[in-house]
Amino acid sequence: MSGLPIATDGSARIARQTFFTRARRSPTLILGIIMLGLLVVASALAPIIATHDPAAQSLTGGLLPPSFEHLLGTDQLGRDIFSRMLFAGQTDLRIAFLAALTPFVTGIVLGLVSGYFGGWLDYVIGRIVDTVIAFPFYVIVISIVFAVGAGETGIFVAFALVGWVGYARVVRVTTTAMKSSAWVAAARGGGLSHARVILRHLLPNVLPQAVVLLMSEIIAIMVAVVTLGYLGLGIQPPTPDWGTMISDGQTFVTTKWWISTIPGLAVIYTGISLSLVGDGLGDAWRVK
Amino acid sequence: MRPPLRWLRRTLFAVVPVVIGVVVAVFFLLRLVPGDPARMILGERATPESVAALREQLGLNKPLLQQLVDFAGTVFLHGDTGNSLIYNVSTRELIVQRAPISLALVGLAVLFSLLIAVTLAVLAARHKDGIIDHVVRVIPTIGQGMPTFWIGLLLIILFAVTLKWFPVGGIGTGPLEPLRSLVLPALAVSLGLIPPLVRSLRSELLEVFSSDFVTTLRAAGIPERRVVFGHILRNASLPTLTLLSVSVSYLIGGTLVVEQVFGINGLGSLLFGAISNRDFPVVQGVALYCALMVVLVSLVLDGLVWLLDPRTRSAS
Amino acid sequence: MSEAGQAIGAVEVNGLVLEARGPLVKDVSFDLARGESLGIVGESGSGKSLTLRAILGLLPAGVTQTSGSITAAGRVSMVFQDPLTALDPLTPVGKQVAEASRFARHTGRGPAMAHALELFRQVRLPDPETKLRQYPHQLSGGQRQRVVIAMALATDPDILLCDEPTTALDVTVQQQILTLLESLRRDLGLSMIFVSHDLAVVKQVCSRLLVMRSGEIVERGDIAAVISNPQHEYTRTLLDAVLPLPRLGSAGGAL
Repeated sequence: MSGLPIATDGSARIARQTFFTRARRSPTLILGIIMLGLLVVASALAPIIATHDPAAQSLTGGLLPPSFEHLLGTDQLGRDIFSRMLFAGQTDLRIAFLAALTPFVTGIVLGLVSGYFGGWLDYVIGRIVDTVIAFPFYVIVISIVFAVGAGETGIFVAFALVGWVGYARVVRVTTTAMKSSAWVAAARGGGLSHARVILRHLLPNVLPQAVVLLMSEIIAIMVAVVTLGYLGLGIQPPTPDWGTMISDGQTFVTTKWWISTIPGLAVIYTGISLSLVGDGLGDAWRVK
Repeated sequence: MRPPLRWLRRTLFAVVPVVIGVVVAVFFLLRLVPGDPARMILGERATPESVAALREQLGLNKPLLQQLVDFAGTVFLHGDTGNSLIYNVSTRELIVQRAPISLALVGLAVLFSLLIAVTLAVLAARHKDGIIDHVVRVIPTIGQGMPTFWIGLLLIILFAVTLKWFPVGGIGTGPLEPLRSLVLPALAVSLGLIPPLVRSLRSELLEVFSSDFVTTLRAAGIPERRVVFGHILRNASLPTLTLLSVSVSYLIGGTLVVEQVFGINGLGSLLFGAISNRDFPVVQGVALYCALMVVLVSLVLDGLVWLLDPRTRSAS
Repeated sequence: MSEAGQAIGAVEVNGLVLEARGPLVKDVSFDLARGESLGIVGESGSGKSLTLRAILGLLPAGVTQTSGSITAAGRVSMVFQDPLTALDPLTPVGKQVAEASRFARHTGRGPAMAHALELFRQVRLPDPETKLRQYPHQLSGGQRQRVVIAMALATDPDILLCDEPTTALDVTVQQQILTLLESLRRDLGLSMIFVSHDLAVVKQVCSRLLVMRSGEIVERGDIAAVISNPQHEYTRTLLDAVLPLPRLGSAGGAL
């Protein structure tokens, strides 16, 4: 169920050592980290690697096929696709990772509180969770982005309001199971306050599962950011974004199909690397 | 009859708060951002007079609680979230008009998902560790990062542009054309659902295949085909139904997005049109209906599982 | 069906080798005469259950018979260890037994259900008519095991294989099931192979004994002889594990 239970600080050290040993031996994790690393480095070094200015338009050089000068060709405004891909990666990765943080934190907190205190608090949070998941993910995200305004702010607000649900559920289950265990009773009996029990003892035990889930959530947010971009509700031009690139290319899908296809491949690559990292971490922590 | 009453009470405790929650959430959608909702709808360049008029029209001058009650009243009594600001027709009418196509799409997507997923899962489970099994196990990892709309585009490129088997977009006229137009979009949505469905079905099938009762049935000489269809599939389909009930949410959301890719005139285009026109009531209406639909379908599917599994019926 | 010269109900196993990723059963040979009951004891992993499955002809996935021969004259049926998992939870028990009967006897649904009722009576299920329509989870452990035995009997077997049929049951219920199996064997003239890790249980029902360990037979013989004079060290370990209990004062019985 959860990772290695950490009852005292002593066994925490042992748990950490075992984790790193298993982590080092996991081919999934290593491959995932390498893939992810390449991606992060490439997009971070975008200003250096890019061959052109991603915003530089050219009236005559539109829709050029891939060539030596333009590795992936140009789009309808003459902008170099390869350079745009790199900068779009920078934007999309940054936003996906940042937007994943708030729901991660709030979800864990609400899950811990819900599972630990139980009672009406648990019931209320549970109903809120049910309400949120009743809405199809894209419907509610699109509605919130619409209400707040398209662009980065809308994206952050949307995922902050909606994304915490997955963590809350997972953490709640583990917390409820641990709440009734002997060592928690011992800790409380020893005079520890609720806060201390939660922070020092329960939190380390729910973190592994939450982090594994985080990987999946980042993928989902990334896909959503790109989808919103495609729909015109995401990152606004002129900032390059894989979604808007796909949307731009749709008009030319009959002749220059790669303009829309290639950004999608980048998203898939990101998804695979994060998925491998998540699986690898899960194996190392023995989390299902 | 005791068990149905218990089920009913349990359902009421879970469902009614969610319905209330959904209505409240949709109500507050308009008020997510601090500031005057009317100004937000009309935009920066709106005149004070038009803003005041809209405030009056939307009842924004009443106390907040009153507005909430009025809103809930409209929803429960008229099935409506007010009139469209653009078309001046009730949102319910607009939704009812556009819903059938979207529902058809969802239905077709479910059909494709089940057909493809069951076939793949059975093949993978029967030939465990074979090529098909390995391929099937890798698909979820790759598929997780595939945007559904992009899959739709890919299908267009492949089947509409290159192979010309299906139209590129829109709904055709004539006897078969509409159905043909829905194939690619439905396929795009279903491809998102298939990987988790196959993964779950395969693992369920494997568990059931190796379970003792299958050996008992085989040992008793019951023909393989009957064992598979009369017993194995039924046992494996129960958790799948549960998974399906969870996937309804994805199906509806994915359909709305995919409609944009293929230029289909369903709820999706209604939603996005409303977004371009700042038509808040319609956006609220679509969101509300989608959520209620998800709740309804989950309820029905859970009831179906309850009916099919004798263990839940006599459970305390 | 009998092979030339073999009486119905006889089983002959020669040099049986079963392998998965490594050898699981190595060169096992034994005979079973018609109407005889043979016990096989050993720990888990000794290969005793797999041997039964090989005789039944239904090896689990991944296990193959790479060498040796098995001849079983007559119909083979098996009773499984855990009755909860041995029955389809979604089908009424009467229907499951009737299904087995249908396909074994090539009859219609009516006669098959009547046969199921008769079998339920034969395995001494209380209130058999009501039980026909009930689901496995509605029955007690002992009742479920009787249903599993009924299913095994539905095919009119000549040879009955029992794989730890009492292990998952309470001690009191164990006794009832053992008595039932023994009386069925006598009344129906079945040949029986009884597998268990519990020597005390095997002693009640069987006349001959095989001791298996790590896929090999380490000792065989008449049950009384083996128990009183074990030749192999492993057999002695098994006996020692069981012996202390009766000394705690319970009269009559076990060993």
